[in-house]
Amino acid sequence: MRIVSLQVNSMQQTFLGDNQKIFTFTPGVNIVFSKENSVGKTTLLRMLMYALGYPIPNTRGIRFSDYETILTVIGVAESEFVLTRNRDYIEITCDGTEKGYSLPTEQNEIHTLIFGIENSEVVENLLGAFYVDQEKGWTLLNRGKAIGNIRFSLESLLRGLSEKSNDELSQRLATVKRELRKYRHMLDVAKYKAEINKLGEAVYSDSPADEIDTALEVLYCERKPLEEELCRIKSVVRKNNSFEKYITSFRLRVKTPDGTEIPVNKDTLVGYADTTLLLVAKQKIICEQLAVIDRKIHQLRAKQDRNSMLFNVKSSLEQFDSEISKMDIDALATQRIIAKLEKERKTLEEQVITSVKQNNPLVAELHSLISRYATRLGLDEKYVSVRNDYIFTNDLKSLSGAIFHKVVFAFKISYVAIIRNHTGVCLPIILDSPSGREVSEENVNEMMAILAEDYTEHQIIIASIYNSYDFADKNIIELQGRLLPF
Amino acid sequence: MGTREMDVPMPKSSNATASAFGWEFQSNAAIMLMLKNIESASKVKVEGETEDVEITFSNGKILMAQAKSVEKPDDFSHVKRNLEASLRTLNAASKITDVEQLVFVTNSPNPFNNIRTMHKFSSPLNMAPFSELPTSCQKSITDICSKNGYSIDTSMLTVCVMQFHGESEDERYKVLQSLTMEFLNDLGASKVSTGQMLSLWQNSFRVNASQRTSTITKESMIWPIIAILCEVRETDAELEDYDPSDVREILQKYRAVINNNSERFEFVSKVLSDFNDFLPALKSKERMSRFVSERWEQYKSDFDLKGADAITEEMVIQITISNVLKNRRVIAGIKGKVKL
Repeated sequence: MRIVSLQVNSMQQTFLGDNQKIFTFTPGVNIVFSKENSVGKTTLLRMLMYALGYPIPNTRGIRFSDYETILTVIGVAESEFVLTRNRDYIEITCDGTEKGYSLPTEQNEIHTLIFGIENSEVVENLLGAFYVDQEKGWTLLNRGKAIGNIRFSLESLLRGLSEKSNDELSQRLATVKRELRKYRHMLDVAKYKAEINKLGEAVYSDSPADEIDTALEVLYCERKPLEEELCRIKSVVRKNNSFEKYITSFRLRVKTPDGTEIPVNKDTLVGYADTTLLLVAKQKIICEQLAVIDRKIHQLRAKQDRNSMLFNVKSSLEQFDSEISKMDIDALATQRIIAKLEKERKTLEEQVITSVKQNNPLVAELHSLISRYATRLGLDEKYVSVRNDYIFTNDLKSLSGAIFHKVVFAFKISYVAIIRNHTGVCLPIILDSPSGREVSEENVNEMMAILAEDYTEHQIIIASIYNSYDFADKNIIELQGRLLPF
Repeated sequence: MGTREMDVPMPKSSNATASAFGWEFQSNAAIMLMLKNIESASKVKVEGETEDVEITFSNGKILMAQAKSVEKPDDFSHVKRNLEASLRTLNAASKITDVEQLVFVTNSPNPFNNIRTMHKFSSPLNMAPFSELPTSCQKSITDICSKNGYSIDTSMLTVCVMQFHGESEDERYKVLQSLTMEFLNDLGASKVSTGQMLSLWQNSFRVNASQRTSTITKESMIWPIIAILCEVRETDAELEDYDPSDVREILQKYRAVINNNSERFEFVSKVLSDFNDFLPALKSKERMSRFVSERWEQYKSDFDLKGADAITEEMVIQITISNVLKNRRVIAGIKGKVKL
């Protein structure tokens, strides 16, 4: 899979041409470069992932949901996919057919379609393999969060790649983990309640802040369907525009009975202007309704702020305590359940790891890849053990900053290689700031040399304040000023 | 207005509230004048600084109005000054080639500061051409003109008094609401909410209030009415043959599907072309009903109704086709009535 281009549109006025920005990527090496930090390199990489359908956290000053993204990628069987994302709705065009998906529920379906990988465990772990975020990416080795709440698990990836997906076992493990999280929250509440009782603080009556909260909730409920309707209309507008452009692109001409030739375009297509004006009017009506609601929300929020500045910090705390005191939770029973579930989780995790390790040639294959790259980066057995099960190591503490950085790099590119070997999919390799963490220039050059030699079929996207990486042919995307000037 | 070089500085309000009130009156006067001239008008422009309202007709001719408001209806101390200032600007406007109507609009019930002629302006909305004004009012105008050397062709001049007072919006917008309601009824659009439409028009001016210059076209005033009429409703006459509870259920679940297809040009164009060729000799209602029931199956591939049973699928497609045909009728009807 490779990225062709990313178009970012402002959500406010999608009809105008000057409120959009397009970034184009080549199939080989792309360096997202800026002389200084904080100009949007990380934001651009994250926006690529957001446009691909992932729940990516916002960066400072940019809320992704404020934009419409149009990402063009070459996916399975060299097909071109155009992904248009509007908040939690994504529309995919491929070979002239369009289909809409809701996020996050249909995220795996989208990635299965694009990457051409059916196994859900592989699909769920792709991002952690090919994308190294500036914040969490360089500290993630074999399990944990890749970015935001997107998790990576090597066990799960290998299970999927070796078609050993033990559904029953993994499903039970997922259920146990989910239950554990809930019971832990419940225990926290029980402890909080005990604290209130211990201090002898009385149950408080409902505060006036409640009324504002309720009114705000009602307004948000009213707002949501309108916002969805606006997105729906924008999507129809887009479809109509594409259809008209498609028809116009043929440069057809028709002849009237009197012999006059008329070009076929948006001005001559019967009913096209009416359809467009109807949709513009519908958008205007909804925007007006949204503006009325937003004015009310704004007023209520201002009131809320005024209240909290005066005395309501206390009253909201009182209100919270009041709600907590009303809950009936047995702390002892909750603790017992947590202990039992904790025990089950450990056993299940061991079983899962064992099931992946047992007679699995992929473990040795991955270990061999990692060892080879680690050696090239100057890491000996002291850091990367010769035992095959080292790839599941939990011991990250013994690795210092620069060493850890190199180990992570070796692991990540090996994941990409093993996915390629077993699915045939050439993932892009997206690295945010690979030169960080006191890594020497020599080591960075070696990292880039590995990519240049062994990953020629993969698209490489690197965000950095250096553009001197030694690649034969590289596309420099230089960022200057604001990433999105709208 | 076209000849700015002839403008003389206008007396301006010294406080923001008075200025906001003046702007509101001016934009509401613009809506009133548009509604009164909807068939022949093509756009209205409001210039906040000069209190001009300029209506351009589809034949290129122009109606130039001066909108002067008073905050208190019983305060007549400024009305004469307002009249004089307006005549000065209207005199300048009358020299522009395409200007064919001049209107002085005010909300003062006594625009000539003459108790004896007040009765002439007592109804909610008065539009009095110069020739129908009481003699004393005519004299006031000609006196101002001759004193200042204005050469206004009085046959072009109309004095208009529109009630526009009161703290509550209901009271202040009474004339506009009644005009809007009358207008919607004339269009056969009584199911469109008067309040919603009026506030939509008013807000079109408010959006640009900071710049104090707005141009609103007839298209942008009329299309929201069409859009509301084109919404699919269970009470639509085209759906009277179906069980209302079935329609309600379908709309609840498949409204987005129906709307998507009713707005998708590719589908709309296909349905309308097929309909054009379908039994043209039949009467409109029967033709439509037969087209929907006999031809709905040929549009199955345009719908992606996962999990819907056959009866539901049939109804969704039929309601969509009916809605497309209804929309075509609504659009043609309204456009014809307002000459859009």
